[in-house]
Amino acid sequence: MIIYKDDEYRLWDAHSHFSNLISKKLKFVLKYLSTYETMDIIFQDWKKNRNLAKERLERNVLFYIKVLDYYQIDKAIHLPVFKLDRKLSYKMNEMFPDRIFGFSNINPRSKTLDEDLLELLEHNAPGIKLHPDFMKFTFKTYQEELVKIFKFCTENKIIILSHTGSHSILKNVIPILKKCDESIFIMGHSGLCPQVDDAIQVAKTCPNTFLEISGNPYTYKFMEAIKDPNIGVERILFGTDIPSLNPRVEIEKVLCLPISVEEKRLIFSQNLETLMKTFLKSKFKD
Amino acid sequence: MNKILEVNIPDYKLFDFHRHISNIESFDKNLKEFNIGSFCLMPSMIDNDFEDISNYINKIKPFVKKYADRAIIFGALDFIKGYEDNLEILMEQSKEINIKGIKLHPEQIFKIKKDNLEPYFKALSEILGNNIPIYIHMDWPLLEENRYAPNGKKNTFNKIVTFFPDFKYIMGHAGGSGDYLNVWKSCKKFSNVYIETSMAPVTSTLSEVVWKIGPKRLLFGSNYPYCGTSIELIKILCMYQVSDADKKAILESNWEVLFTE
Repeated sequence: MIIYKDDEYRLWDAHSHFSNLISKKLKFVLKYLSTYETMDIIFQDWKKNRNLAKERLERNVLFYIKVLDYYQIDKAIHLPVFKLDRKLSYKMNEMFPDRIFGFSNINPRSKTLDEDLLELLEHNAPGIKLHPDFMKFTFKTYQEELVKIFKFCTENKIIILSHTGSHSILKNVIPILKKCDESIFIMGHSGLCPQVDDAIQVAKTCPNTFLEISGNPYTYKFMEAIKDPNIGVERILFGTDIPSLNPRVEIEKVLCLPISVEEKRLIFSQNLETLMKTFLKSKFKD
Repeated sequence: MNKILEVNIPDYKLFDFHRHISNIESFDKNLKEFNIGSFCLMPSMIDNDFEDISNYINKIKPFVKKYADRAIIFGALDFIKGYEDNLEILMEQSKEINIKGIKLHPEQIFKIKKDNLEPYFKALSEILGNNIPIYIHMDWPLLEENRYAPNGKKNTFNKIVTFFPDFKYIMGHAGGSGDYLNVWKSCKKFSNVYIETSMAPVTSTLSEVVWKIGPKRLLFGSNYPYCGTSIELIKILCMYQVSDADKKAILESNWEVLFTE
């Protein structure tokens, strides 16, 4: 929760990451994935912090909580960076079910796709992340597999969030969403700069889609989406993309918009809260 | 529960290296709200300025008149036309709106080959001199042959700098959303490269420029009216482990070296 000009805002972050790779030895690699400030939160008191928990997985969940606390984030969707981070997400759901929505990830190219999907049920995952770049797929070339994933997710109350902005033509997700019109699809980064128009087009065409705004600098496009009668402020989600991006910058993207305090509250938390409550139902822990 | 820092607008005049025109009243209001003294005005792809340079000249004239002592105008080349036509295009922009620099936008679809670019840079040298600043928007188009992956600095910006090393270059939007890591390396490789900060997705990479190269290569830009000026300002104000003096240089005075002989 933050206070800005005497107004209180809860922060529900629709886009955050952490990794089970946290270790001092890998600090040189982590600097490509994380801000220096976030690394300092973790590594400054390393001797003390490494003893937060005996088990590595548990310790990394507590590190993530430290980062959320530092940036005053009330609740967050956690998205695995690598396949090995799925376990971290599942552990988060176990340890902090009322604060973290630990998503899994599914690669449509996986040779064990059926097993991967069943794993979601086994761990009661509230959502999955897709990443066309890391997973080397496009919405067109893997349409059949993606339809299968989207249908499975819809039947089992699982939200889908994809990286957008590169590595696939975003508009090619529309035929998939037309076939799976009850799927909840969050466009991470709202298409960044190169695909922001496509993201807005998808949002206009497919009513169960959401625009998550981390990393996207085009505030004039956010306003276009907010004013569009086929999208509206209720489908815009706040995200920080921690630890890669600077949360203060991402917070300002909402605070500076020429909209009411109530509308800012929708973006900062209420839209995601409504989505979680209505779609996840029993999986949602308040 | 804590208060978060409000954007403290510095009490010194800011220099905004990347602005576009808008409604003139809103433009003026924004300058006052953020204490912006002087600024560069750039052609915009969103506003079709590169397609219709004559229209750009007409649109920008009222701003040139109103902000004669505060605005530095950037012009455009027409890559559909050849050398002779571009001599005229540059002359017209020089005469009508007194351009002091050129902006290149990747969606102008020019080939990054020395032979292809040479006539345009020759025209620039002849009309404006070869010491002028060239601003290059980053975020190159996502193309099928590139599997929709962003085209990086190495194959774009850095190549152009290597082809025509006499000019001064500004890397727009700190590399853009496609290739924002390690922008300090381009500064290290080329002494004539500067980084403009608007739309920078990450603040860490800006801090790295200060730590590894020094504060003088960063230029604050707002990309008004397409981005929020407070967002762009806060990126500089919250740069990690960077002194207030260095932030002041980025916001206020680093631009000066680009317009001296």
